Amino acid sequence: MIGSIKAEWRKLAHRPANMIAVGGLLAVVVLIYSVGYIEYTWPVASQAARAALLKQGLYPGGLVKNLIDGVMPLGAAMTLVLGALATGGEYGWGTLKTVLTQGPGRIQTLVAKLVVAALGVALVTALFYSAGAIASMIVAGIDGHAIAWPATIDVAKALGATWLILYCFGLLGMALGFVFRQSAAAVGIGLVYLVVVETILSRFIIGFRGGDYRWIAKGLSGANATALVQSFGQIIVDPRAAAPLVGGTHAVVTLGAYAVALALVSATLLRWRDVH
Amino acid sequence: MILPGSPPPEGGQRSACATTTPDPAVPSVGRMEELLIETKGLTKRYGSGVVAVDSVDMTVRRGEVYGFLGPNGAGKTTTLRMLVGLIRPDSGWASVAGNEPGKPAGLARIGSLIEQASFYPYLSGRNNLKVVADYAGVAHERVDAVLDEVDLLDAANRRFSTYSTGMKQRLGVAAALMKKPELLILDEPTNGLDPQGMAEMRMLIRRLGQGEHTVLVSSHLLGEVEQICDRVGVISHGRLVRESTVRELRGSAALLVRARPSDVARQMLAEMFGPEAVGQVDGALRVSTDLEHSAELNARLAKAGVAVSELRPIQKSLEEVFFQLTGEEQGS
Repeated sequence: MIGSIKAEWRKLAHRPANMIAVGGLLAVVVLIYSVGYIEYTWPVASQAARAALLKQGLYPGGLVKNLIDGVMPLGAAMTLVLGALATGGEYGWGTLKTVLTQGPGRIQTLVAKLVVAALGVALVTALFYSAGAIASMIVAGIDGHAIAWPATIDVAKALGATWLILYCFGLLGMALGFVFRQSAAAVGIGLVYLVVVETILSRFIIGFRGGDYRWIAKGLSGANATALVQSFGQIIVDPRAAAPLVGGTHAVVTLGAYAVALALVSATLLRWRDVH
Repeated sequence: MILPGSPPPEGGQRSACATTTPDPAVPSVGRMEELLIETKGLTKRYGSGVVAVDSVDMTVRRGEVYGFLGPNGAGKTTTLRMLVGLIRPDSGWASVAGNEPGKPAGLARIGSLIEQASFYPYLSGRNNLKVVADYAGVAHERVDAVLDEVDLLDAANRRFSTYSTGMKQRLGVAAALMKKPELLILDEPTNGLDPQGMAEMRMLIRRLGQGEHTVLVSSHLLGEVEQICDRVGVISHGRLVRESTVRELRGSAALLVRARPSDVARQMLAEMFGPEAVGQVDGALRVSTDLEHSAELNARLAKAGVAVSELRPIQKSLEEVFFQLTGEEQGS
């Protein structure tokens, strides 16, 4: 098992798509802070009060609220794509047969992929918040603002929630890669589902017959991930915004169930289907 | 793969659905030691009712180079995929290196290259082999040894995507050698190679076959199989139509005799070797006999006043045999 994990890690660490995605994510953090700083420091006159509030989010104290908004759907889409590439690519390149003929069992191979994906997502999560922390310290330093971090428990919860959302959608991408046995269809259908289908479906279900079927929407992965993000609060509370569909605990349990179910789908497909 | 009602490949390797009743068709353990691959009734059908492999019974003995010969689409690759556990048969069973196909214990003793070499294009040759070594549970020290064996050390740090077809195939062979396997399964290893690459690959396979390895090599190239294999299995339309040594496959030795008067020569030869041994071929006589009789045959014909204008050994080429067995049209 250790050998399979080492092999998976080598593949993950050297893959340009993963490097580009991590670089892109860090660039997003830089953009959030640099564009935010310019916008909130020199706002248009009508937005001055709002800008002053939003600027608080750029300081270390606003780290969690400022960054976790970027996790859904942007971060989720990124890990969905990387997950689809990780498994779909094995079929496209024919490398799955190279792997499976070396001796590890199919389930062992999948478990190694899941473990490495979990570690990779943890690393990305840590990098994401570390980059945000550095950027917020720079902003505070420029403004001469005191450095006061959020409570440790809040940071830990945010790290956990971010990891769970990213991992869950990474697993969705991986499962789609196994379903379609290629990357392109897995990426395309995964993104359409995440960005379009879930949103439309969720709105339709919530509005249908006065919300009688709202309970269905409470089971959708995107709705739960969004609710988990919203559970950390917002820098400016919009009174017109709809309340989160579910609470944070419900969202964690549901996303955890999705992760288990997606891993089982992948295991079933890999275990029983022929590899051509 | 053991299927209901089928004999298990080896004692102790029975699946839950296999019977436990002794079966005379079950190979004994001693025989299994000699046979690194044995299949019985191995069959694979695809969804549309296409029978890709149809009741194949084949045996590969320890230490031999076995050629798996057949035209494109005959079922070679499907059979090999079943032997390494990538696809499951619909019926029949196979024992590979004493295990069910695809079981880690068996795969640990097998090196394989199925169809073209498949590696991660963004990794170097060396890193690809490190990945293979990690999966196989082999120390990384072995990586450079196998790279050296296939003459790829100089290109080890280049990305796999920049390799030529020949280099890719050699890297595939290097990966197959990683575990120091007893059994090598190579599926059309010369595919896509230029003549020099093909010659090098044939030399490599021959060298491996002379060592401790047992080699199963599939090919649609008759000359290739003739040059490197001890035994051959010919597959056509999913069925194994013949399995024997190359010599047996080409048929017994014979002499071509062109002599005048022909009827006298024919009568004499029939007296010498029996009437069934003498046939007609291309206006000459074909005598089924060992080549060592040619001098005596020539002397007796000459003594009887028969003028012999041509006397030479004849043997069917593997190509002729192949086309006979597969029903393919020669030259098509």
